[in-house]
Amino acid sequence: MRLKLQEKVIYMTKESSISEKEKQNVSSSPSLGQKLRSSELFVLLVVLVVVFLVGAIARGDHFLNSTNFSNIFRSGSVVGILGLGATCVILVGEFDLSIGSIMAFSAVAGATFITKTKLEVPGIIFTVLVGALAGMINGLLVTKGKIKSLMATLGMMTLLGGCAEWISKGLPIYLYDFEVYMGVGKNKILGIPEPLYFFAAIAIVLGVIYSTTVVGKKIYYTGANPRAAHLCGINTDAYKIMGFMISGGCAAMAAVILCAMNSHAVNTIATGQEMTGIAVAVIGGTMLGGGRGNIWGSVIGAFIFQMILNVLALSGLGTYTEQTLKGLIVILVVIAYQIINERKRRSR
Amino acid sequence: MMNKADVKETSNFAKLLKKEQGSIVRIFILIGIIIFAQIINPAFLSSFNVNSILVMICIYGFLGMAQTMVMFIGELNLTLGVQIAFAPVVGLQATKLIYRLFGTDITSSTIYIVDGLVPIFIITLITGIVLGFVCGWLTLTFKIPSLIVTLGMMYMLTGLCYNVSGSASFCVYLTIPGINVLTSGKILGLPICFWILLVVYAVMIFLMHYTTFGRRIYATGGNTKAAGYAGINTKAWKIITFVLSGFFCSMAAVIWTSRMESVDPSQGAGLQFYALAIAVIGGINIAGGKGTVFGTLIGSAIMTVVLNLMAMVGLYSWYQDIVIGVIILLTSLQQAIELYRETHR
Repeated sequence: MRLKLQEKVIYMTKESSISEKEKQNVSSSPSLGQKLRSSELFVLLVVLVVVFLVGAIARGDHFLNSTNFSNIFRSGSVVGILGLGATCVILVGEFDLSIGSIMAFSAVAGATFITKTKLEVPGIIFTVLVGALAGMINGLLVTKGKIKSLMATLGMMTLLGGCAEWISKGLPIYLYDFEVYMGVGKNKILGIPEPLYFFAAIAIVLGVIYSTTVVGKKIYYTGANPRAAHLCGINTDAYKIMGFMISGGCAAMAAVILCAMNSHAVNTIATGQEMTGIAVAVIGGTMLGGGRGNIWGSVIGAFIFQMILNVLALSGLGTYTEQTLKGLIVILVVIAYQIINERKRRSR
Repeated sequence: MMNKADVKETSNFAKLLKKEQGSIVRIFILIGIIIFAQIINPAFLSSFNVNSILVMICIYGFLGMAQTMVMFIGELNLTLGVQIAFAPVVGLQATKLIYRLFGTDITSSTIYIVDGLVPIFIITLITGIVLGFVCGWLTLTFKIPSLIVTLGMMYMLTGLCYNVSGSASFCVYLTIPGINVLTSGKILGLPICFWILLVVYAVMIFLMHYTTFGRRIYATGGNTKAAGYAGINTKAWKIITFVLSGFFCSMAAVIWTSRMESVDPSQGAGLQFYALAIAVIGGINIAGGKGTVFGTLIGSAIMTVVLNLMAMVGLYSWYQDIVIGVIILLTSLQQAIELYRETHR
């Protein structure tokens, strides 16, 4: 009896000492270094710097010159805008496979509008609106039609791809006469390519909305648990439709930049870009399933993605090896995130 | 609710009818389309066209089955399209290597292959199985959504396809005697590949609906957690469906190769979405645990007939895309409505 009591006392003292330690841990806030190490953004920045250094060391002057960097910024902006759109959809727990077709459709529709009316700025706005409208149809099908987003956007992908080909008859629409439109892809302001300004503007607006406002909070709740969010009085349908509209609009904007860079709009513009958005969002730390990830991550993710592709291209491995490594990177990144998350959950 | 006596009274046949309700409606739709096609163009049911439709049904049927298998457990496989090219390319290159080891060269003037039909097809099938296993293993070990795994694999295989084929972006012709026996050879007036399709479907229908094999897959797809508590090794069953998916896709690749008598590293691009469309048209729900194998067969038949009809009428390819898109949206809408009715009864 006595022995058992002793044991109990020892046990209790042990427990109390542990709890005191825990209390100390809680009261002393984690140092800046710990905070940084635990944040995903910091890890992403480190990866970006590593890729940059690898490029600089391996390819030297071929990598570190202004032409190459303006190329990275240009293509990175297109990829990044697509990634932001994909992030907005994934954050509300849905998918958008139709990004590529929305790009093709809005580009062709916008180019037709511009060549018919000769109005350039309204033409660009029209293009983005067409994209947002297509996104809204996606959103309505998913929320009101109760179709799984994968199927709805798959149907829209085929449908819009066909429509884009139908409008353009499969022929490129040349845009050499429209300097403002072409400038979107080719001009430089203060030595920085114009696409980067568009990318920065979209990223800042979305980033501020998603990370600081009430609307952003509601979007995250919608993604994390739509049912609970709905029961809390959040209009989940509206936020889902909004996500799809942003995705469509972003796709259209990316299409404008791509068309301006190529000086023509054609329905095959998005071949090979269909899944880039999702890949960028995933690299940026957005979790499939919704509610986790953020806009800034996708911004850094886009530059990581584009810089890796650039280094690969400069190293002369060829397009096909590049494609192989692109796929490998996506899979490895997802596995890495999964392992990190698993550890976090265990340590908690 | 039915009591035990009622359950006993309903015959097996009635049960089957109830299970295949959706498929029966689809059969009538298919017959309607065929009659419509025959009225529009009398050449539709000519023996030449019927033969080409049957061969296409084989390719689409196996592709649809490949997607169906993973959709039963609520997953997706986007590598199917690329696999149509990748598996034969690997088969070809491996066979070349093997023959070279034994001192014979089966290539003639770099783009003609003259020997080694059986090893090519066998290695194609093995490649499919391995790919399916890799996709399933990655999905389940790291608990990543299959969509992203197969997406990454899709990118990888597209690149690898060209790497393996020695960066040859042109096609390699197979001038082996008997290469087209699968598609041109006939038994009782039907192409041999169609008989293979029927046998495989019969086996799969039996396995899926009358054995524990199928019941376990349905249980895993319907509610993975519950199935796990009931003692089913859900992880193993999920990997098995991925392996089957890869295998059936390779079957489609073999028939494709036999029909084209060539291997092109870019063939089959985008077919993964066709496969998804076929499965959905056949009544398979993307949420898992729903639909029947027979439905996929009807789905692939509808898809083939519609595509064939549009080509015969002379519609541009963009109209085909538009029509397929509308079909996908309508069928998924119909499924959604059905589900809504079931849950709000």
